[in-house]
Amino acid sequence: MVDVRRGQQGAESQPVEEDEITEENVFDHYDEPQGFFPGQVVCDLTVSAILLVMVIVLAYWVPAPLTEPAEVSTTVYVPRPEWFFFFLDQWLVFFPGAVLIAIADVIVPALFVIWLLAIPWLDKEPSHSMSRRPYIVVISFLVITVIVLNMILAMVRIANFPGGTPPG
Amino acid sequence: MPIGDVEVPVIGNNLVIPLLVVPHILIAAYIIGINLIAATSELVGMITKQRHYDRFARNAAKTTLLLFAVGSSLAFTFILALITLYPVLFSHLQNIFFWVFLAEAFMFVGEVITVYAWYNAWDKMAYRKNLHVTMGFVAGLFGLVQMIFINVVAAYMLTPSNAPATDVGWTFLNPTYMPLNMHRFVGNFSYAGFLIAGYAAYRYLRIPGEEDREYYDWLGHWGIIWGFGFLLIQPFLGYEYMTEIKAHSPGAFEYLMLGPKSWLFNLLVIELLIMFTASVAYCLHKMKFAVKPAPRLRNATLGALGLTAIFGVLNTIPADLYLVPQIGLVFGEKVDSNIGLFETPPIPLGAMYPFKYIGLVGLAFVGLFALALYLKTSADGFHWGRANRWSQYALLATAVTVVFTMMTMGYVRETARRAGNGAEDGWLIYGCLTLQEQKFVGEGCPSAPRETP
Repeated sequence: MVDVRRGQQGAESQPVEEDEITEENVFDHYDEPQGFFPGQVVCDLTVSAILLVMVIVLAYWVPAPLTEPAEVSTTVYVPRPEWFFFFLDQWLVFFPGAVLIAIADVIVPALFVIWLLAIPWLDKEPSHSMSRRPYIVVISFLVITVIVLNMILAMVRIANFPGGTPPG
Repeated sequence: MPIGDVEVPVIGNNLVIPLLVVPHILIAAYIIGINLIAATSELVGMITKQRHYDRFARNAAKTTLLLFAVGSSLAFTFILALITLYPVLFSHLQNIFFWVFLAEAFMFVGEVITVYAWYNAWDKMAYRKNLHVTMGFVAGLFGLVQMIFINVVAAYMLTPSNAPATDVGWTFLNPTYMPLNMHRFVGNFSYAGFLIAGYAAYRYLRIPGEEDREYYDWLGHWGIIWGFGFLLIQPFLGYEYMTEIKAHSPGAFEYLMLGPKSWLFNLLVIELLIMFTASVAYCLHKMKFAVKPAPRLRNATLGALGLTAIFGVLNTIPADLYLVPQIGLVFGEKVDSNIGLFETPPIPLGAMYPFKYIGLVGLAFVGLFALALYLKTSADGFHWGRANRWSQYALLATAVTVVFTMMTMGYVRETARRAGNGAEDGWLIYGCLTLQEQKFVGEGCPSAPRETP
């Protein structure tokens, strides 16, 4: 049986014989489907275990500090989100007010999540080569760019709040 | 006569700077944009093996060379005029931004070397295309970094940081620095893209040869993708830029949005309406010549064109009939300059909230939708060389309008510093250094009050 998918070593548009994926040759076919159990489960568990160990080590050696108790009577505190939500906070600047705020905090994030869920159906190209997956590469690049730029905008905005910059 | 006391006859001192800067910016922005577009085109040509990408990239590099010396000489003359006419300002800027100016100068050198080498080595490096494309991107990056450096100064003059002038980090990261960078970065691509489209249309209408007709038809399409694609982001970035001006130089914001110069934004939205409508109309026309006809996509684009016009017109409705007081175009009461965002102005549909927001957001999303449909159709190819002359007029309209938009926006940014220091005066550095007398104010000069020596 002949498979017209490309081989690994750039045999451009050369038909290759389809062979069964086994434990011995699985790494020759890294971009082709493989069984979820046990191979994928073992990989996921290994990486999860390594990350868990790293978190435990960091929590022991570099513990998060306890900050001052909340001051409920202050009037100068400027509420701001954690840094990893800065990009979403920036969206609220673009879409202010009751009418438009739903676009920023419901519609756009919801569309993004739906798009993430739909990726397996939108991008079916099995190859790992970026040049063969222009759709997903361009969209992903744009998404990352938007997130990073919004984060930078929010950081500069927050830094220039009164009290954000060092006193003169 | 001491330097700084020079009086320029006929046009006056204030007009000298814009007369030099406007053509400089128009050339410099074009060079930055076209350089990166050309390098990208060369890369796409290398990957797809389609000759027209390389042909365009090479011609674009040639225009960069032709314009570079003119643009640089205008910049040099501008600096000379600035030192002569505004010595206190330049001395102050030089103290704060010495490293910026030095790096800027080296970026010029780097750009000159790489751009000339890039163009001259086109044939010699035909078999080392990877390296040659990299050279093009390096040349483009030199230009880009140059813009990023000079934006520090431009942003600081309008919204100086609330930090000592000696604190280099914070003077760099002043409130409008990042929004200005993004706004100009995107704007350069859009500007260059529309100019490419306009040039292609001009040549298409004049050249009878079949092969060249196909090439210039394709070039119009390539230019509009860049021009229109990047224009879609501009309303958001421009909004962000104005938000920062509002937060940190509120007098300037009020002067622009609700004061005597608010007509500039009415003019801007008219320019946006022309560019958006012409771009979508062009896309709609081109879809007739798709290799694989897609009537449903074309009908959807027709709907998008209607929505573009509606959203665009919504943006152009002014808040009052006090239109352009400088030339007596006044038909009604001026809107209260302290009006809240959610209050109703004399013309309700001209309210900023929600109508202008709906107009701008709608324009961007409908434009994105139309562009996506157009790109999907273009994926299967077009029959090139068949576009009618009206579609080319649409391209010419975008090119002419984008030049006026650049000039409008440049004027907006500089005239914003006219606010908050009396009717006849203004600021060279907002809230810090006066325009006419070049005096530092005793207080409010961000966080380090000082007097003029």
